[in-house]
Amino acid sequence: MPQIRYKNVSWNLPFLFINPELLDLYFHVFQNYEVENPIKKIYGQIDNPWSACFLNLKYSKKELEQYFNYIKAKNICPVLNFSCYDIPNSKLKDEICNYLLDLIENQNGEVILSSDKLFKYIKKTHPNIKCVASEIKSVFELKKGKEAKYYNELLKKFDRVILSPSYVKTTFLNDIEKYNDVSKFEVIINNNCIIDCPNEKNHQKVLCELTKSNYKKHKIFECSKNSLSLNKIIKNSTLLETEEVDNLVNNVGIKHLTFKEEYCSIPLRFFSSLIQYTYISNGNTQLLCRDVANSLFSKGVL
Amino acid sequence: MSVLKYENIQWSVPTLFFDDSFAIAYADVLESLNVPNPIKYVYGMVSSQWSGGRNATIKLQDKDIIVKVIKELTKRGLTPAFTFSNKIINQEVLENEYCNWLLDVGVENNCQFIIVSDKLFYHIKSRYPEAKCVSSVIQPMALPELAKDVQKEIDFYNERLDRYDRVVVRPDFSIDLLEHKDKISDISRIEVLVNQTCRKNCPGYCYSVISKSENINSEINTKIKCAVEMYTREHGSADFCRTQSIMHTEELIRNLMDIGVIDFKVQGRHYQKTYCRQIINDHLLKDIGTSLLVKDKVTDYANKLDQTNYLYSNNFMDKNFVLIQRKRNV
Repeated sequence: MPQIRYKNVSWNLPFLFINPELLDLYFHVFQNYEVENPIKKIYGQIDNPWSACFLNLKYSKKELEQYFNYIKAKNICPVLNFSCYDIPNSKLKDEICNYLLDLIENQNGEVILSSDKLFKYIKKTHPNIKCVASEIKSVFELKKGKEAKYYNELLKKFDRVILSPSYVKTTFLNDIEKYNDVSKFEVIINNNCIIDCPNEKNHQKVLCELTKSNYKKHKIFECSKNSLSLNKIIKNSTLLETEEVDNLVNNVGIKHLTFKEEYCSIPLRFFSSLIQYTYISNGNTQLLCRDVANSLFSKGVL
Repeated sequence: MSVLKYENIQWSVPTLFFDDSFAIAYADVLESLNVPNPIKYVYGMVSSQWSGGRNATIKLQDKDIIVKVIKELTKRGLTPAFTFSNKIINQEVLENEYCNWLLDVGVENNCQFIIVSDKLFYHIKSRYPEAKCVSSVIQPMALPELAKDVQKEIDFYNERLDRYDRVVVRPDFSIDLLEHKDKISDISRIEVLVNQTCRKNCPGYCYSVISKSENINSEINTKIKCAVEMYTREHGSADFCRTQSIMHTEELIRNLMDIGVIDFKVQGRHYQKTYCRQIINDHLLKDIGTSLLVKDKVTDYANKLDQTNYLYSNNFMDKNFVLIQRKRNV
């Protein structure tokens, strides 16, 4: 039987607000094979002034309520990504965003944040919501060489802290002894970017800007990887190798892993990758993938 | 750090005349990374009277294209292996002009021939004693009595090793292979199929069909009773995995490597191309990490080759690719 790769780890997976059929499909495969479901939390975002994204994904209040009821029935924790770093005061009262907070609070959900302004606002209006520091926050605030001090400060404020993938890939292990409790750290294991990408800050700024205006007017940001050879990308990639994740979980004590939403638009690729990350490589995982592929095929999306 | 899942395995993959762009992409992308290509053999065949095994997707018979594909592959260090695995070969079929032309081209380009029929084996050897022949997995699969007697099965493989250059064993036999390795005359010429989705000691309803040639779109093809489907319907997927699956785990593959097996094979040309690519990627490259970048690059590269008609023109595709009419589940 397929064996779960990391026991006692809470996975945060990018299923929130994507096609519910895909989440159903994932659950269906688990049930069929009677394997442990690694999904504890699902994160995601829709277009709103607090999220840095350009999904063109909008829900009415009624649709949101129905969707959250659907998530509740599955007994998983919704994690809303409100990771825009620069939020004007005028947008704090945004109706849909505040409605989303109500829904999240009702379901003991969490929010991922970059903006201190938004953090204070949420703590004031919805004090029961758990707040997670986004890795995007560190893009704007973290100074090289001061990581331990920076993250120790964040640990005091936030319920969980998502680490910078570049930091995890390079010097985090050297700083382990500087942290009292690493169990509140969350690690992104498949961040498909390069270490200390020079365009990262601009990239995030553009994403924040996009939330404030019509995304179609903006030129989509050119990724710095486009000008690099595959060899250079591999050498500088922030993707974590098996041995690195094994060490972080089994020796360092990391309890929270995030799987990024890469390839959501290619369902077979997405599911196959997700299954490989969450289960130990085993011949029978191909059977899981085959069932997923069959379902996707029958839905006409393969 | 290597992106390969296993070092020192020679993989045989089902891309020949099915997804040649993908094999070429593997060779080119890995060469650009200075990583040894884990693919040694690409197997498959165009439709012909000698062909058997899974359905051919290329129907006919443009000789120029066939030669072009073979040359594109061999110049990249890949060895095409023709699935001449029709079990039922009579004299008339042996003398088929087109099949003998395929043989000529194959030998000329150092291809290999995967064979079920002894008649065909001796025909090939009589024309080309130096031709490299592989004993197909269908040979033992078609003899259910082998599953009941380990010694008989060992004798069977040793006899084949005397005659053939490589011998593909029944996937169910891999565990026995570990136990009886010393009784196999040359383990380095054994090939193991790692992702057979059949159930243990499958009665082989489908293999009795797929070992016959020219079954594309045939009525009989839609009437195969799959033992896996029947079992799963009754007992469920979980029970199938627990008790019946012969899919090879990473641990089993490594144990087989330890006893000296170097040739491994994945199947998948009866699936959708997208899914077959996924299977190959997942067996050859590591599950996690920067191997993902290589998987994406290889797939993108292959897609570009397809889009630019690198091997086949659109016209050729329209004329020669079979449209499988039945629902082609992955």
